[in-house]
Amino acid sequence: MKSMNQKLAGGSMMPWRLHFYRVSTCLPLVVALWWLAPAVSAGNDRTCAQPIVGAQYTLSQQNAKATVTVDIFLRRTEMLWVFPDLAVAELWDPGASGRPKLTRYFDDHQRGIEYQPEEVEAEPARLAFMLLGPDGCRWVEQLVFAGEAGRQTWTLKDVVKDKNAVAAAFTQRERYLTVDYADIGDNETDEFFRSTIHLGFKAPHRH
Amino acid sequence: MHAVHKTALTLMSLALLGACSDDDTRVVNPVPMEPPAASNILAAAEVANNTDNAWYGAANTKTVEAAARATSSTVSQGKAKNIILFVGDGMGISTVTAARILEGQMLGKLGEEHVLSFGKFPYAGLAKTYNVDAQTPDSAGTMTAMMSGVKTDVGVIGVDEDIARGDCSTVAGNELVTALEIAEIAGKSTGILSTARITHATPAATYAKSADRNWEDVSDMPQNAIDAGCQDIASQLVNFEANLEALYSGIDVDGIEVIMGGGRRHFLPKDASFNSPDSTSSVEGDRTDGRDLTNEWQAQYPQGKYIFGQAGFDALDTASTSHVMALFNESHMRYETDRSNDISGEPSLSAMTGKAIEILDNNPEGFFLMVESGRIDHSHHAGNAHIALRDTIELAAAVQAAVDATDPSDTLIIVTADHGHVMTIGGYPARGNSILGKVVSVGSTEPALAADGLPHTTITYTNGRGFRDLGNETDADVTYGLDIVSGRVDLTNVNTEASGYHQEALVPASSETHSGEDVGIYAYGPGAELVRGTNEQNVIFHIMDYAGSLVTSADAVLP
Repeated sequence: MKSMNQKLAGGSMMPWRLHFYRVSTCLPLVVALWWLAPAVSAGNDRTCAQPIVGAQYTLSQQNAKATVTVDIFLRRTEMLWVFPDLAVAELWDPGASGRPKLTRYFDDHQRGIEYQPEEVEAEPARLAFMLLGPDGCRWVEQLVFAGEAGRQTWTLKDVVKDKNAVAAAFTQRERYLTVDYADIGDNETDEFFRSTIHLGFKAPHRH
Repeated sequence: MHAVHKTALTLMSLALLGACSDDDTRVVNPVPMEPPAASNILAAAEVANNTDNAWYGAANTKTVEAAARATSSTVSQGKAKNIILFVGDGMGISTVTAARILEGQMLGKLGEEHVLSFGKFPYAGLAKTYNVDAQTPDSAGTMTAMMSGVKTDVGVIGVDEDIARGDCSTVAGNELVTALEIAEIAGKSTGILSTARITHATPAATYAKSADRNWEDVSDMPQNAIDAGCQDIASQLVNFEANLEALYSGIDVDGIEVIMGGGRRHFLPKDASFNSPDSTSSVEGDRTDGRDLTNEWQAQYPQGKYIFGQAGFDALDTASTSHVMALFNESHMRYETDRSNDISGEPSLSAMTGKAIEILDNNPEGFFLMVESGRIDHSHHAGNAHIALRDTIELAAAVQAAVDATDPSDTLIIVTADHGHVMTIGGYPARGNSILGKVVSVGSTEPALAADGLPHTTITYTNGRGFRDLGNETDADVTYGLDIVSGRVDLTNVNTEASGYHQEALVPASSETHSGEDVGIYAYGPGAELVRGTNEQNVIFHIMDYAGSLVTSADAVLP
């Protein structure tokens, strides 16, 4: 398991930091339609023959030794990306006004940091859109990007069908104490946030 | 020494004595008001370079005014029917100075000579901001000191230093009564305004008792604290009237009349069906106990108005409104620069202040109002001086609105800060150089270069997330989605005056930090003369109490 230091200082381990924007900028239609995909926006219960509720991928990067495991869970309009190797999870909420919100959970500490709309861009949403294939009803077996940091390969390892497991993944994190990122500076005496302040935290890349 | 020069220097010395006399009413000698004797005419000519100079004249006038105030000054105990406490969260001395210059430059002046609304107040002093257990403080401890008269620990609300932060069991027996509660008992109307969440530390310290500032709603609390009977901060706000009446048997108060700020999520159940029309989240509420506190508040005050947007605010009839709870945002309200981007609209701090006073002054017994500009602090944490200064300027506008709406003979207005930030004003820019710009030295037209050969800005931060060039971005918090950039950047082609520019920071940190230096206290109205010198921050409570006889009035009501 990674140490707190490694996790907080190691934002570059987030898969969508791997220059995913190189792909997304080539696909303006995808950018424009992200989160409008029925599979993502409705958990696919209504539009697909089989409910699409989750998947497990491995991500390998040409210039990196380690392979990262990523669990993706869908619940109604929300997406939860879990990185078990990092003990970090990210909840993406499309927002009632169409402006996505991010909550990043730290499983070892059972804490979370909330980002307000417009403070982040939602690359994971765009990525999920592509991982769900053209019809939004099946997880693609493999997706390869030729990014600036080298070739990245997403390989499907498992399709999650157990809705209870999906619900549990969400519920577990929703019990964590969370705080707005804007409030971190007012929590210097909190050991968790003090670590964040001192070490620095690299959030997902914004373009 | 030549006799003429001696006489001239005596004249100047006496003028200076007048300036110093403001500190002690017993030795006032308003010498500058007396016409010079015939034998001194030549002496006056000798110092004409001084006395004919506009700087000299203006300062002398100020001195004469101060001397007159000191001469006529009488102790103003109990003369303040109304008390308004403005708190610029994070508005340290350098922030006040920079905001003053920026406002002046926005008005077309050079800037440095400009005066913010509260800079015109006749009395000022300093407050030492440290918490009992912290050299550099936080808002919870500092605001508790200002509201209760007792310094306490960092991170706790309305309780003394015997508290163990986060331990619910240590709250009982350590609660502090606040100026707002005392005013309420005394029969005054009460109000709290904030551009932060209304459950955030500063506003919370006016009404709540909590072992942790972050217990804003029940979902923020550990289960053992809930089981032990501690109440979350939002619940304490809605139950304020009942809680206060339970604390002092036999009293009958009518609750906080005006509540305006952000933070709806702490008042609503975690259920999308309770979303407000301008919710930004799929599920706006955070509460896991199923309670809708907006509904509970409305049930307590059926004639009261619950509003969430600009339209409701505009429709408020201040003559007939008894109670109002306005929660304009799911979390904090927007920065002043970003206010126009809100879905349902948000009023400015000055508009909220004006409307609050119109409601509160319906009570002939007077009122207590706390107004917080809560997001100066947040923009500094984000390392964006432009947006922090614009919020400070809006605070100054709110103070002016209060001055305009009240009578200085019966209303004490205090403007202060809970703590400062590590923003500095440095380099050697020429007079009138843009306060947000790059340093251009006296006599030069090009930016001065530092030892590394690069231009630098007048304003920088000691620590934080560092440089950003985000153009005309109006939300300082966008910085949290970007990697930290510490140290120097080539600013040659960067517009450092834009709202999206974030200043360079020396020490990399995920969030810029508070500072530990003193903050200013600016006062106007009865009791203002008590604000002088360097004070412990908790003195502010005692000045408000003295000026308004709050405790005495409340004691008279208690059975």
